[in-house]
Amino acid sequence: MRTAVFIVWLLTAALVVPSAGQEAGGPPSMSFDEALAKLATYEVGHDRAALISLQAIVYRESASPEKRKTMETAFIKFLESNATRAGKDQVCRHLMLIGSTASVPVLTKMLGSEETADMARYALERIPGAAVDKALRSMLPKTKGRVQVGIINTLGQRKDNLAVPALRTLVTGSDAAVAAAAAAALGDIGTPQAAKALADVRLKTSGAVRAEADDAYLRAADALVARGDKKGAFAIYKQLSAPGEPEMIRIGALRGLAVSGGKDAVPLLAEALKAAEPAVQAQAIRQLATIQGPEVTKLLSERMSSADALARVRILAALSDRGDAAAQPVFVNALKDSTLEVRLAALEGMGRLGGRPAVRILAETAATATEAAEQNAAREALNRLTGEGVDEAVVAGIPEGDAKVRVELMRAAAARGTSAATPALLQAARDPDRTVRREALRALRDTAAPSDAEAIIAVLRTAQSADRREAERALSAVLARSESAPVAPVISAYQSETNTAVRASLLQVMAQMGREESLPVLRSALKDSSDEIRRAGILALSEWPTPAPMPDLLAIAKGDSNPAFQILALRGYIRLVGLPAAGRSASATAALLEEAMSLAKQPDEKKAVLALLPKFPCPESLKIAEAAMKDASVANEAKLAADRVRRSLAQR
Amino acid sequence: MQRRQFLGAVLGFPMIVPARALGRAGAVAPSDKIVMGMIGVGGMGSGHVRGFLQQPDVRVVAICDVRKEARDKARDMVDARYGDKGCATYNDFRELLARTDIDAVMIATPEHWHALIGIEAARRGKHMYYEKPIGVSVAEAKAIREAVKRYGVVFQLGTQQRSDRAYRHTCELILNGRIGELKTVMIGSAGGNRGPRIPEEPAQKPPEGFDYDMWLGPAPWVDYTPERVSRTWMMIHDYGLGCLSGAWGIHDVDIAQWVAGCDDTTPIETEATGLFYDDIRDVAYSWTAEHRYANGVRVIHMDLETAKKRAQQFHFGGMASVMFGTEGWIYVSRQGMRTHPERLMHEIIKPHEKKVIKSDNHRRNFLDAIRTRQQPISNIDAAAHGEMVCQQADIAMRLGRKLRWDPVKEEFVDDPEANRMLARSMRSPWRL
Repeated sequence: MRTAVFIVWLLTAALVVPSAGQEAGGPPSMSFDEALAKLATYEVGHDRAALISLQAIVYRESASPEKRKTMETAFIKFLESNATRAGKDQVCRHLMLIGSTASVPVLTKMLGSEETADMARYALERIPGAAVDKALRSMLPKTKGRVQVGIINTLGQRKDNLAVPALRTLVTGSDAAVAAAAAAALGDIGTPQAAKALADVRLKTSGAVRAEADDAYLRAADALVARGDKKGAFAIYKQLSAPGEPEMIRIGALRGLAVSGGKDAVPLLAEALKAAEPAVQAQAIRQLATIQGPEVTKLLSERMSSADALARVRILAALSDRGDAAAQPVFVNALKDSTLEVRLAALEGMGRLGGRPAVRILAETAATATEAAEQNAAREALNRLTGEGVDEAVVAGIPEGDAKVRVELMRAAAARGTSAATPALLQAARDPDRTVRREALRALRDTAAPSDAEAIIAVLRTAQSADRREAERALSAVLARSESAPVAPVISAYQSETNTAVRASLLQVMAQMGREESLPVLRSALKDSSDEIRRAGILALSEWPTPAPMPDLLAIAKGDSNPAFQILALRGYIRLVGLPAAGRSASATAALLEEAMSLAKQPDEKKAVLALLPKFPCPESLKIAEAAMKDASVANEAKLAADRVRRSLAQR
Repeated sequence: MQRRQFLGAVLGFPMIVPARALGRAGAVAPSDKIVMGMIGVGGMGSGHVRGFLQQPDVRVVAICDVRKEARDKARDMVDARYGDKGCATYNDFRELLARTDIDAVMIATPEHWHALIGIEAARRGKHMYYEKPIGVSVAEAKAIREAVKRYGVVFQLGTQQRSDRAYRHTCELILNGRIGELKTVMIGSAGGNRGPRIPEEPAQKPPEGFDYDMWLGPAPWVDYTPERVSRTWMMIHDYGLGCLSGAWGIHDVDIAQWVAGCDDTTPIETEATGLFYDDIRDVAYSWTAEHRYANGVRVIHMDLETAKKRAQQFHFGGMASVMFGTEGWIYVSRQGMRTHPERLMHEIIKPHEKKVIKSDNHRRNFLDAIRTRQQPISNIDAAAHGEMVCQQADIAMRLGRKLRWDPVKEEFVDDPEANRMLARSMRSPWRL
């Protein structure tokens, strides 16, 4: 198999066409100097050839230090010239990629003007080096409003720790937009100094600035964790998780406590479990769940008895997430909870970490639940259980015990595809209890293999009439699963069987398998002395997967002495005409349908013919449909068919 | 139990609650409804408004758009649905997000706005259905990911192929080894045809009722022209990566990450070539980006026309992905699947095998996640990493060199110029 697929894969790979030779933007149409000269007068609406050439050159040459230097020198000169703003904007984009400290003076000058400051920052923000930071800081006191906010933002993005004192001052300044930006920048910088600055000024702010400062302080703590300073971060999270802080800040801080403190955070998170705000309480539970160790499992388990229903649901979910098997008794206990949602959460958790001990509990719950949701949840959990011994426990419970529990275990075996359950299911298929027998036969469809066919045939041959259909379905499903499944045992059983109903079932199984070697057997059934077998033969041939039995069915439709068999055979014939047939033209198919139409005496068969006509659009099909429009019993269907055929013909 | 209590922030509780308890089986009490605001109601956004209005447990109360005409039209649709005049409109998303009665938002603005609005929404404790992509730079992807995790809100990216049965089946087949070891994923995304050149337009005054300054937001200033703010914006690099990401590509990159088991990581090496538009549009319209992952999987992301030249399966139909394993292959598109061997199409994944979240409706999955605290199917990690893959391709293509990537540091290895392209400075006063 592996080799065969690799051949397919290699065939596919052989179609690969090399994609080399493509270039970003294609080859530039101008030289660097030509493009830059053109750019000096560029305005929105002008031809973009210079922009595009320049961009391609800058990208292509950016790996070479020498070429970067040459280009940068030219760009600096350009920015000092009287070039248009639109042209200078383009150059700033290129300096973002290749600029060095050499560009800092000219870009710093541009920071002074509201019109050029943003694009100067566009370049400066991504140019490495302390000279950039120094220049930006130098412009802080020389600017105000939107320009100053931009510079602050850039200092934050660059994480310039030397800007902290100036930013700290600005947080408490009179311009709220500047103050908020300064607070945010301190959060971005995220050094111990920035965190301290926020600690110092945060409580002196209010409104939007305070909201920004709170978020920044939280982000600064996150940054400290990333730097490895968990202790410093923990202290901040502790402060921000306290009652009185805004709810969202507390939520963020509780996460931080768990991340930075681990087990040290447990007492604080346990305290937050008592919070009045459900979201804060939920976060405390959630974050406790991330901390490993038996003490947290114990804490959450103990909390169940005093928690309200919502908290109980969340605790169960958290315990489930932790995957600590020690919590199993909590789930078992919660199955008796008076609140449905809690019981559902318990079932969900058991499905995740229950393992072998949960098999019987879940089967019993599924068998006895009065709420459909609870029964479904128990079944899903049972199906999902993993771990050593789960399948063995499912199989072990099938042979005996309460019938409803056995039924649930058989359902689980089917859903899990537990092939080891097949012997027990074959035995249960003969159980005195009908519900058990029926479920066993259903489960066999999913657990049995084609090699079990003879055992299932044996069940079918001895099945009570009420179970025969289920046995037939099981046998069909198992044998249809593989193209190499043996049909011989089915034919042999049919030929040696004397019970007519069993023989009819075996004919149906042969039809579902659709094997060439069964066809003579099915044809012989049409001549059987028993009407029941003849009828089963017609139905089986009608289900055949290819048009091969069409002549057999047509003969019965035309001339059988039993009118009911004529109708059955005609229906089967019409179905087979509709199957794909290699080499048969639409006109040829229309001729077959025309004959079927002439044999049809009832509207149902006529409608079946009309429904097929649009699949075979040709003038002959149209003619059949138009003729049928005169028949009042199918006039509507005939018109619809005619319209569809006409549309198809018109599209050609 | 007060069901509305489920709606508060804090994600992560994997509990199953029946539809009855979720309040969507039949009539839903007003107090149990998820109150939503819609931000960005153009073509994609207005479709989401219609979609969320059909959910019985949602009440839409606010619309935000910088185009008055669009927001008024969306508001009228909402009011007509509820038969009242209860829907408010906003030009500025911050005013909408400041409303404490809103539980969740839908964000479908132009892409350069996604991260900023998303971060503010997270800070305000709003759950968000968030149109793709997550942002227009790696820095944005990281910032929104941090904010969502910090504040524990539900985040669903609009990569709805994960809620399609064929894609889910594909993923489960691969995760359970049905095609053996996954070796290569080939993607044929939208794109491939350059189309006619767009003529240049002179600078103009923005029309009445359109807040152009707000539309530009954090992107560099450029004079207004009508073409820029039409659907063409999707093909301008200041606002996204075009077909490579937000204009389709991220859909299939997202699936590639999913099936490769790489939702929590990114490739370690990327090589890409492409052809770029040369008018107001400046993104790639045709490309081949080859990514190599630490687990040995290769993802080859192409436009469909290029993909057709590389694997015969792409001739089956439109945009699609093909997953090649050591024992078979799977072709999957929005039109369905084809497999080799063919029986894989009908293979049943057993309950105790590896499964992904079952979602048949992406919006519904988002709403259910708000109530159940389960992670939605297109979660924040998948969203961030998926976009990083596209960004790696774009940068490699522009610089014309193979780039190595450190998935832990989330930056390029030994390539300072490439690393400069991981973030974009924002126009004041906007900041990440």
